[in-house]
Amino acid sequence: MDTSFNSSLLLSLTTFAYLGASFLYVAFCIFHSEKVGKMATALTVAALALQTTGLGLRWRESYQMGFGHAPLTNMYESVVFFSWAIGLFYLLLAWKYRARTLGAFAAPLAFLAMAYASFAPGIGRAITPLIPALQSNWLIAHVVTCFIGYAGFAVTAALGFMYLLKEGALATDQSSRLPETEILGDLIHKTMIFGFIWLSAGIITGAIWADSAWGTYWSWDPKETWSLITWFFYAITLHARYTMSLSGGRMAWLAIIGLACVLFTYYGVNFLLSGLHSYGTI
Amino acid sequence: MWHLWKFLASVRLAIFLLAALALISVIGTIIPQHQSPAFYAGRYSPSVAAFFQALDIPSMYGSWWFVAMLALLALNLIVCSLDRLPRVWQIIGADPAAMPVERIKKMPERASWPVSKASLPAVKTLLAARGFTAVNDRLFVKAQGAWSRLGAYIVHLSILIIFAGALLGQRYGFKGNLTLPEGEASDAIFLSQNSARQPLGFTLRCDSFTIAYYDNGMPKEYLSRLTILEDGKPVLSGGIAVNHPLRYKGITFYQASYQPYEDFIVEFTKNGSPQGERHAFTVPFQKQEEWPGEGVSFGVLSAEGQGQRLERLKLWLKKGEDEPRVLSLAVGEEADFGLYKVRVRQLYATGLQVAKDPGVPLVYLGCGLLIFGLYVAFFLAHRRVFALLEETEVDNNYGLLLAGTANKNRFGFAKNFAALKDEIEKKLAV
Ligand code: HEM
Repeated sequence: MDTSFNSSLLLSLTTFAYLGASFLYVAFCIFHSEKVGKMATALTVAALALQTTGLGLRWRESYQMGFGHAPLTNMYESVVFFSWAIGLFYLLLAWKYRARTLGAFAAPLAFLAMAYASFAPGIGRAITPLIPALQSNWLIAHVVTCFIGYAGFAVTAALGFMYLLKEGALATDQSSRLPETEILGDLIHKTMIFGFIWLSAGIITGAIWADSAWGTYWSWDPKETWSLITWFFYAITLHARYTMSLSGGRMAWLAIIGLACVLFTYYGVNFLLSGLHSYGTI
Repeated sequence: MWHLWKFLASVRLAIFLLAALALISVIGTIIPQHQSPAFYAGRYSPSVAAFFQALDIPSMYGSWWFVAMLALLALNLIVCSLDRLPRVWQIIGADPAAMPVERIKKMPERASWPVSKASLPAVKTLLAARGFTAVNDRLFVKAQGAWSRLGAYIVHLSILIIFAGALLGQRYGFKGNLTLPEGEASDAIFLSQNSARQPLGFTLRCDSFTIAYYDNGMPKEYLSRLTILEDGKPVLSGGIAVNHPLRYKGITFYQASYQPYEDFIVEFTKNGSPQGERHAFTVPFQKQEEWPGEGVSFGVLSAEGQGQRLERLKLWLKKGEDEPRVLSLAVGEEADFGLYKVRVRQLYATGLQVAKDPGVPLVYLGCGLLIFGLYVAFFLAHRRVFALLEETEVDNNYGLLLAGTANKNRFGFAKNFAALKDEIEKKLAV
């Protein structure tokens, strides 16, 4: 295989592109230069393009290795996809709602995810064939829906953080450049809804996968249970907002706590509650 | 009674229940579920273990108190919906034309202009083109998505349907497993819960079990060939692999595990008859086996492989008074032996997960409805816009009031409203 131009090179470049974009966005927020802002967005678009190509190449490489599967089947690939979804979701939001300052919070998240995937010890980055349990289109649907949802919640939390910078606990001199709190509050609600729908779809596709592989759509496995806890958390937040008219600041905090729940569901369960995962007998 | 009803209909109770369920569910992710009593006694102290047993912690998600909380949530959902639906229904059915003028004048989005009599037709044409209907020659209405107010109720109903499906499966379904050596059949399985025998109502035979490997040695496929027999006659044959189960009479068989034996299957196929004469023998390791019909004796001398994966073996064969022959064969490799081809492989038992769950279609229906309901609840809104013409003191002049309201996504609605406002303004400026 050609080693000079392959998926891992492109994905490494992606990591640095997101890092560069993060710095540019922060500079944009501090100096408020339109030019820097445009450069930041251009670099984010470039990062996303590199990442998309990298994922596509990784897909192709798996076929060249003789087994072939979508690059969505292990920890490394899912975290790269998570970062990809954050990048894409941020760009769409920034374009639709003219909220470029969000980039100062979203681009670092996309970068951190890539950096974690690329450098954390104990994460297998090799393209490996799939064991029988993972050979399922429902698995692909499950990973895609879950991680789009997680990316949505990550952006929600970034917006929550912006809200708190704008008003309340974390407000600073630079805060005046952030969007108005009503707009932030509205975006927090919208992105939370977005995440909630995708998380629901993620839980459902996971259940269908489990049913087709093991004959049980729900087994209260720690991972499943935590995804349900996360889902309850957002359901509670949405109900509380609807019926008790939660203040924007409270919603912002809940958006941040929600992301902690999401991260625990994905990482915490694997590391802190390991050994309990009841799958993988085959 | 009324107090109880209002309590059961309250969203506060819903929030409390959801929060309680979320928090309590954490316990079962920390304390391993469905282990033996000895496991808990060993991992925790005996008195703590006894305490867990008393509270049903080892199977907490099926315990009476956890199920009771779910039942209370279901009751909460039902009462809440019954309590609110009549009013929602009323709003949905209400004729927008009957909206009192005072209410229109107080709507959150408003704009007004003086309009000369001459430009009236142009304004009316524009309103008609934008989907307004004339209630009379003064009032124009555009109402959309009234039924989207049902979105939250569709979601709530979907949760109840999922609960119903789960209950149905619990009542009328079962989960079990079956270990079936190649070539053997069974008409019952063993329940996972208590290992009790559960008759199938038909017979299941395992014809073969094979494992395919990738080049790097990772397993690629576990494949069982199964045959269903009714009254001894085969009615259905099929292969199952992980993620590709076989279903018969509401019972589904899943490839779950396997077990290698220290026995071998030695298979003789007569030359020139591809699917013709075939003789298979199950031979224990290093034991002599006889095939009296042909006067042949044979056995497996040695076997080698990696881990559990058998790769090569040595087979000895002796026909009548001939010198014994020793063949070194890869698994599945064929060798000539007189009029026959001979082949050897390891004997396996397939491990099947067996499930009957008549609730699954209901659960999936609920899941589909859930996503649909979420879409309706969040992305569709009940939007009403009114255009009201009122005569003013000045002769031949009118005041045009444009006013509107939406029950959701007010920002999005305000944008659309502003666009319409601009259009009307342009029309009037001409
Ligand atoms: C897992 C359980 C539940 C889920 C997934 C759920 C989901 C939803 C969703 C998605 C909405 C729309 C929210 C919005 O428009 O912002 C909603 C609204 C609502 N929910 Fe729930 N809900 C659940 C349980 C409950 C329960 C137990 C109650 C009982 C009181 C309840 C009462 C309400 C009410 C009153 C509304 C507002 C209804 C309206 O728009 O007229 N929910 N729910």
